[in-house]
Amino acid sequence: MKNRSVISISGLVKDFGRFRALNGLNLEVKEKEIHGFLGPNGSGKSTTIRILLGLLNKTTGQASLFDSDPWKDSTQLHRRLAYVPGDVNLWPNLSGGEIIDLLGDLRGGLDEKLRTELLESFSLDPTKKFRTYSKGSRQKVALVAALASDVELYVLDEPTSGFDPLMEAVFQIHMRKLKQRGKTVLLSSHILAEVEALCDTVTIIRDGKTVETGKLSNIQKLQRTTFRIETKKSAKEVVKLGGVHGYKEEGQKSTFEVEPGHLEAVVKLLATLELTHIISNPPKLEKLFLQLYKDKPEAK
Amino acid sequence: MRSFMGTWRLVRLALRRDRITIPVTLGLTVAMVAGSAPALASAYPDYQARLEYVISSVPSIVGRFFQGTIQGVSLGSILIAETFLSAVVIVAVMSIFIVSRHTRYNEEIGAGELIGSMEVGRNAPLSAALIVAVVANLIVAVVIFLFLARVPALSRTGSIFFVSSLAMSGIFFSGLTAVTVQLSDYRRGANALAIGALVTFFMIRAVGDSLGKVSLGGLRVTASWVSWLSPLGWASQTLPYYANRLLPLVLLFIGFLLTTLMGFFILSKRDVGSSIFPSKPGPARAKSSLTSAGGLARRLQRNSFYGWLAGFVLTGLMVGVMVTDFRNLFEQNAVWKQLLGNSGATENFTASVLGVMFPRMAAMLAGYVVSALIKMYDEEGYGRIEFLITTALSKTKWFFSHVTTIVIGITMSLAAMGLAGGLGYLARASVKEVSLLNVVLSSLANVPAMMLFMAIILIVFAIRGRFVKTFAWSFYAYVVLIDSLVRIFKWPDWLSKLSPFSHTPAVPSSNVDIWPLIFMTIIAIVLFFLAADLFRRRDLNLS
Ligand SMILES: Nc1ncnc2c1ncn2[C@@H]1O[C@H](COP(=O)(O)OP(=O)(O)OP(=O)(O)O)[C@@H](O)[C@H]1O
Ligand SMILES: [Mg+2]
Repeated sequence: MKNRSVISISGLVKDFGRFRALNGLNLEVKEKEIHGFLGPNGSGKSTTIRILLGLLNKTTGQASLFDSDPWKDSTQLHRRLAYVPGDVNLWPNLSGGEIIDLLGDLRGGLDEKLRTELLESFSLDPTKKFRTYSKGSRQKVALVAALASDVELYVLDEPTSGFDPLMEAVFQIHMRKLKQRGKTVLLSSHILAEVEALCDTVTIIRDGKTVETGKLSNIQKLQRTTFRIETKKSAKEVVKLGGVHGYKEEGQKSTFEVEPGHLEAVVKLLATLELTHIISNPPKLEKLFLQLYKDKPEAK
Repeated sequence: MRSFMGTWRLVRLALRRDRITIPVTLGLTVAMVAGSAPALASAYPDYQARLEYVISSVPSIVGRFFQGTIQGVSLGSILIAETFLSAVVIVAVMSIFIVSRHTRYNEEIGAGELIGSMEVGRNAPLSAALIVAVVANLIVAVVIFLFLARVPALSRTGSIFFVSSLAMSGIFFSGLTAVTVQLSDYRRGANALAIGALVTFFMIRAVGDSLGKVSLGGLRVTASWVSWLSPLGWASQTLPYYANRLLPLVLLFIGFLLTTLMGFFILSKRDVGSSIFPSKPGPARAKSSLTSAGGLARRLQRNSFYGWLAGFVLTGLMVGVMVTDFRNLFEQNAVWKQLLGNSGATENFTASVLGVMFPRMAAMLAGYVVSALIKMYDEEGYGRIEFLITTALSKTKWFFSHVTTIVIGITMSLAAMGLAGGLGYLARASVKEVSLLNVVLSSLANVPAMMLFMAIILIVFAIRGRFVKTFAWSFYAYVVLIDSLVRIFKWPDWLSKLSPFSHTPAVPSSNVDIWPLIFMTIIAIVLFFLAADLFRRRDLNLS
């Protein structure tokens, strides 16, 4: 892809005292993509984002944002992005509307049309004092404040963790609009369905290290496909083929998983077994996720 | 009684959460009272020494204002003057914080909802909070009593009344807070109401005691009826070691009962999380005066600034009105002559008194600077700064938006104190020794010391944000108390010189030493920039 890099991180290390939160992390986000940033709790997503925004200073490694140093040039860089932190804790005595205007003006002005549209679609009442909002509404305030600014990059740290399904759908609509307008988004999230629906590329981290990164479709291609079939003859033979796992049989029904390189052989064999029914499931991100997290990291 | 179910569980929970706060307050009060008693006993070992103390204190209006009325020649009377009211203020504040923390604060952070849905009754949190506060006060009383009982010159009965009066004051304020937590819908508001009441009661008592009449051949002061309008007046009117009156204790207890009942009554009428004055909706759009770094800083600092401003004005007024009374004392009192002589401006009496009084008042009112700086730190502590400095706002600009706001606040407050002082003085004095402008300048002369005080705290903030609250309050306690401590314990003089307020010269006078003002201003400004730079380089405290 010819798009230039907006975020480029390699070998990033961050220590908090003796505790190493990031341990050689890599992350590459290209222009105009929605990049999913995944990892279990405490794996270092928020820390990475904060280094990227110049809120924390890195210990060692490379981190650049729009080809500049995020710690040194943070203020100039901040003009080009909007950020929604993971913890939305704002001024209890200001109203939602006041907070949106305040953050918008500090960011250099907000788009009035967008502001109205966002308030409308998220059905957020801007006259409530911040402390009286529910959890979801608090996140809406932060999100509207960020999305109402017309910037190049949006950095969103778990922006939807308190949203109901309806609001989740609204969020996805706005993300797609951003994409149409050629914006770049870094989206940290635990909601895998959201990532699958929105992201072109993902980076998965664990214990401060990148364990998987690339196009979502490519990553999925690397994963096993699940088959559920009904055959007149026993399908037991597939086990003899390479790359087949987890074979289970129950009467005429059987299920198993196939590694990507062995699909052709399996399908050829199935054709000879008097197939009556077949469902093949593409690899789910959730499965990949669980697979990557459950394996203990190799012993050192 | 179902509504009280679970109270004991909550008491245990609260005690666990307060396992630091309560011992610290306890230690502080005990150290102050019980620590002073032997020190005072050795500083004033015999009748003659005590007599001198009493003779010089009885006529002092400032003494009456801050220490209450003197009751005869005895060690007990000196102990009360030196420690009682400060101890009362400490236990009152402790009680206020305990009650608000385990009631309103819980609701605010949502723990109230959690507790509300557990097997606890509606009244349980407030009952638990009150029980904890009462127990904490009783512990303070018992521990102090055990120490006082070992000082032979203090009568047992007197000591019992001393500690009972102390504990009853704390208990009274826990009852009062049971009401204020129902009135405001979050903790700061509830605390502010209760502390406002504490300050008002302190002032009423101060005025009443100041208006008191000297009796017993100049050895004791009878407070005027005004003091009886204030619960703090009741507390001191038990007159421990002198009259050991029971009636004031009964009044305090009745006050506690009534406020507590009122608290439970309002509680029974409101929803969890709401209050009698619920928050009104706000504007849908921000005014342009809000949407800048400075605008936000001013908005955040505004309310507490107005509160403190009232304190500055009242203090100024009190000093101004009383300056004239000093004149009479001065004529008779060698101690005062000496004290004022040191301030370097003997030719103009009024100016000298202002030169002594204003820096001390300024040190006390430096609490404004502490609370303003803590508001500033809270932006970081609560993570709101994360939203701010990821806009086009730089850390340095954010830093100075608060610093400038606070410096302007300091200047306005001290100008207001001077103005109120000047007007009070002119209204009262028959011979006008100083002009209004002079009084204002005399008060404004404390701006550099206040700025330096602030700058030192900012350095700590810039190095280690987490420490700033502890440091700021300790430093504040230091500048307020150090003069008295040096005097009581005969500590070396340089300890008081560490307080910036000891370097404010008497203004106006013909030979004003202007250099301390210039130096302090320069050092403060240099420290501001240093702090800004250190802050820029450090990681933010983000949870
Ligand atoms: N200021 C700090 N001091 C010490 N340790 C910290 C600090 N901030 C974060 N950590 C630690 O660094 C690790 C990474 O935290 P981080 O917040 O980046 O995780 P995360 O991936 O965002 O997790 P989550 O999904 O729960 O939001 C955690 O173990 C956390 O405890
Ligand atoms: Mg996080």
